[in-house]
Amino acid sequence: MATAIRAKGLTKRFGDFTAVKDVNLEIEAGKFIAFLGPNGAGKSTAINMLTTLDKMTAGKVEINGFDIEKQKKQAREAIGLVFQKSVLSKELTVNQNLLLTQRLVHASDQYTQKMIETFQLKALGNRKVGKLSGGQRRRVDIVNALLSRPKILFLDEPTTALDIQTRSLIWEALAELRRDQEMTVFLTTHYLEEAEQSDQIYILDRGEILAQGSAAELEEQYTTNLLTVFDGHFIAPVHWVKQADQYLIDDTQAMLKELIKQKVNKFSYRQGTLDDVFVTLTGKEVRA
Amino acid sequence: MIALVERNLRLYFQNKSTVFWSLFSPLLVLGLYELFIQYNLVASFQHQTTMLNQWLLGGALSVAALTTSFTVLGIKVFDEAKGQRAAFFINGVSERKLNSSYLIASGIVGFIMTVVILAVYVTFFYLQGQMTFHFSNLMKVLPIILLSTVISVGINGIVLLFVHNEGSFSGVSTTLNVLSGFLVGAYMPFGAVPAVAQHIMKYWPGFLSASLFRNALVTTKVDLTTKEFLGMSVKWGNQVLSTTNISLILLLASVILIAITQLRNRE
Repeated sequence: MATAIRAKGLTKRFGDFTAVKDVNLEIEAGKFIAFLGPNGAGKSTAINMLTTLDKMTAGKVEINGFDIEKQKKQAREAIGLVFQKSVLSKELTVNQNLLLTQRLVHASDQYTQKMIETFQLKALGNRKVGKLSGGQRRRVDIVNALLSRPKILFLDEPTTALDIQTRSLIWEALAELRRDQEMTVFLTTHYLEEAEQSDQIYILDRGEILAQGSAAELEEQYTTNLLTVFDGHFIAPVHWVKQADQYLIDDTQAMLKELIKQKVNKFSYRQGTLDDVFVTLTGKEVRA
Repeated sequence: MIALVERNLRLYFQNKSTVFWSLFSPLLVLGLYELFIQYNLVASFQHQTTMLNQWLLGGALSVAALTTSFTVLGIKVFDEAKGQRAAFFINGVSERKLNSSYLIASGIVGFIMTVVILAVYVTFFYLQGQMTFHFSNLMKVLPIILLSTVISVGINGIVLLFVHNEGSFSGVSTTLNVLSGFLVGAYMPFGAVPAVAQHIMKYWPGFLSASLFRNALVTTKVDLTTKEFLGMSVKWGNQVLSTTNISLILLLASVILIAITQLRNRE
């Protein structure tokens, strides 16, 4: 399978301050990747470098096989970017904005219409972008980025402050596009639920990748599930590890068997989440 | 390129407030003239009202070309501030193409709006009972409007190399609006200002194009001394510049300024 993004030693320094430190990436085409980290982790800086908008202090990046410094034009042809802030002209209508992009990237009318319908924007065509709600504007941003049929779609915190319905619509539409066009999706987010849907998560803090893997792999490696039993008659097996009032559970099946055996009715069980992963790795929560 | 120019034109014309304020400066020239300046000037010039109206129009057209075209370049500043330029780069638009689209749109607007100012002034004077302009003059005036627009685009392009945020754009815009009228001698005739100011004005491109306009518009016969006083003729050293000289100087200056802008704007 082709490599969509290859980065070696990606670094960005501003004077004494290092925003992105030696990031290495190897991302296969068609995958859904998430960069998870709090504000200030370096996610936007990293994405600006990967998408050729910002110069790297050090490192080498290949997008769709093209070196982003030596073959910038070809790399850019493969890239679509949904910016953190909308880049549409607010005084122009949805159609005027999209038509401009369509002409710049030589997309067909049919394709543009298809994208407009997929993201449910048909009724909003003649409305000025400035008059749209946040969710509507974001959908237009995404269609705008998709018109060039990018091999890799980068999204920088795309669904921050959006309602759940809009987020679901966006993710479903993108999943469909990934299947149809083998498009790679690279997302930066501080929403755990979004990161959880991805194939591979990179946890970023202070410019460094602390861990990578699927949500399940990271939770397995960096968290423990916690059990609290409220029934007074319960006697825990000797090998169970207790921490304050909670038992640290590795084997969920064995735990359930024990609870059934001892006829426990009142208990609470909490699986490790990505937030726990983050706390384990950095000592703080993602949304601090 | 056409798509980008169209976008810039739409952003200018669809914003009524922008259009109004871009016309403010040349209209202010008329307003201040009518309220404050005309009375004394007409008295000094043996009540040659028509001649002075035509003189005034010449200055106003030069101002209009500069201030209206400058407004459009505000779109460039706005795009930079909002990150919209980055979106264009991702879509394969080169920096040079993008900057050219701003300059071209600026030129188109400058031309159109200068013609609009011409119409406004002529109508205003007509309503006052003055025939200031004859259609036969249009063929003489349109090429000067074109030249005036081109040199204005050149000037604006250079100015914009130093303006990168909305705050400084706003400041420069205000300064330009205030100064342009004085620099072309629209409020006070050239001969009525101190020598130091004259020395600056003589080399200001807007003043040169204003002199071309005035020569084309003033139908009354005017002696050389009065011509110089009113900024209808320009003297560099002891040499009175002919209209051909002035046109060539402006053309050359435009080419140089636009070339510098394009070179500096390369990524």
